[in-house]
Amino acid sequence: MTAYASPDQHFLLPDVQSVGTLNEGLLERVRTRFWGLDVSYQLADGRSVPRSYLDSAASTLMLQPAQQLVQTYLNHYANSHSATHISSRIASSILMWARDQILALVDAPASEYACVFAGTGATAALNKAADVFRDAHRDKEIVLISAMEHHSNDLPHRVTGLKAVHVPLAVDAQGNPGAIDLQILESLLREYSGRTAYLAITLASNVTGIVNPISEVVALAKGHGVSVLLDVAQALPHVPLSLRALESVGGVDAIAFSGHKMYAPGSPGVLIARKSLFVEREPEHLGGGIVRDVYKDGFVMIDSLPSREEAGTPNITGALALGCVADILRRIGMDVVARHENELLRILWQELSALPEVRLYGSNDLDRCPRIAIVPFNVCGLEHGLVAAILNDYHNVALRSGCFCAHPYVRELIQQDIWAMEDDSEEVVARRLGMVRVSLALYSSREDIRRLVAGVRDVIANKDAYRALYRVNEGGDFEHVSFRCDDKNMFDPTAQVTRLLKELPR
Amino acid sequence: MNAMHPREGALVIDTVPKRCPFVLLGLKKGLLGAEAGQLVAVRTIDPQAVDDIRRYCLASALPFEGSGAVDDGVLFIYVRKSAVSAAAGSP
Repeated sequence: MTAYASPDQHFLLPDVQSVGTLNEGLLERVRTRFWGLDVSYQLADGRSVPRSYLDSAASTLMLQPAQQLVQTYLNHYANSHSATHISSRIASSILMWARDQILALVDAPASEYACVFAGTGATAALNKAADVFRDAHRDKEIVLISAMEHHSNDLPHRVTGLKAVHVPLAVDAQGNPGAIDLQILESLLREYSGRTAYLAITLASNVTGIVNPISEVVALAKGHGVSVLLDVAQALPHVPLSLRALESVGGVDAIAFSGHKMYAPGSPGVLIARKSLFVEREPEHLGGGIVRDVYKDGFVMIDSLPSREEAGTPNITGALALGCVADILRRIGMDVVARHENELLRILWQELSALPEVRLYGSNDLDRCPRIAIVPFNVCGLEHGLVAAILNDYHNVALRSGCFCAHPYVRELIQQDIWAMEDDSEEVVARRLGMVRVSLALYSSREDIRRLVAGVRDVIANKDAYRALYRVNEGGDFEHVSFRCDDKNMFDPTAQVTRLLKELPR
Repeated sequence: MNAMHPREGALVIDTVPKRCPFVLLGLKKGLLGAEAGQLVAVRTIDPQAVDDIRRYCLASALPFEGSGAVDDGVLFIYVRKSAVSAAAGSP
């Protein structure tokens, strides 16, 4: 059985289909059931049009059944950590159910892996992972980090006392960076043989969506006795992943991801790691729920995982929502999800690459260098922040621009743009350092892509006119000279609370 | 050892305390004022600039002439302005 993500085994691997069940009909029913798909905003030209949400790499919309399940459960809500009353027992069962669903989604044997909830996203999980890996490899001095990492899978590994060595990316004939360079990875593994604690690498980049050939990466690392920490925050909601399958090439030691990027905002970050990594380790956070007994001069910790690693009250409702999403994704089948999103990606890529004034980033061979449905771009002669502002203000296309918490990687991607810069003033250069990012998800549609492309065409056709309508504010952001999005009136929490109180029966 | 940097006769472009990409952009600007064939020394505190400038030189057919460290984390990166770039007015 082969795991997903070899360069020549992109998106649809027959043997990974066993992770989920094929159900295209369910996909079609589910993908319209997200909160926020019908929201409209008034734009700078006075029109009120539906939003196209193309910022899913930052956070996804919420799956309605997950929210409905939480709402139903709230009748039973209580804290866990007790078997005294029925509601508390339900809470404990729910946490177990959620962990089971999540482990099942990534095909991780519960006998081998623990599912630990951490903080509010992958950042907390990856910080925890950095501590766990350091504790497990006290005799080592090097950590290898791929050059395409989000800061959250880079910075935590730099401050644990290990020396961080970044592994470069392979570059195609046109000079576009692709996935991790396997030859250089191998040479670094040889150079630091016996000294490397672990390799930290993402399955898919949050900037380009480019997928690393994880089977080969794991095989190389394990061949040199190096552990692997895999950031799957971007990839997991979009492609199949089987930790059991990866065992055939040595196995991944831990994965981390965010629930808020997986249709469950408000849910915790997740670290799934080999149980052996936690042995004889003192967790970084101490408190209730993880001790057997406490004395004035010491304490005795419980042994059981994951409780030992989760001090305090767990995010029960968030875990339930995330468990629900994991269950639904499995029922759809992640290969079905991946196929759907890959079709949209190819349409998006084809449409944008047909525009002569649009520059796309990362390797442009979607077959040899697969990516999830993320496409970063720039429009020649316009700052990324201006393009994003125009698309928002005049087309209600919600996307993100900047460096996406991956500054070194973005600088590498736009290297040729930097070389072409004539102005070296910090203000001007800072506004050019970055790109606009389109990121799709389960609910994305061809209509979203059509509206985006129409918007980009409009930006290109009216560059000068639009530029005259914007200025740079004190924060360095582009803002319209007259149009202000009245976000407080669109959703005013105080007014909403007042309304809710008025609706209470007297 | 420190006396070796900057090399004798080099036109020094001081980019301290800036980091990438301003080191490279400083080099580009500095090259405009250099004579054809002149050695240019970029003074920087950014070790990443060595790689950036090496790649830029490769892509721009500029001779990259190495780098050397002095005290306090300061580096000198050497590039020679070619005759072609002098005529064009930019690398």
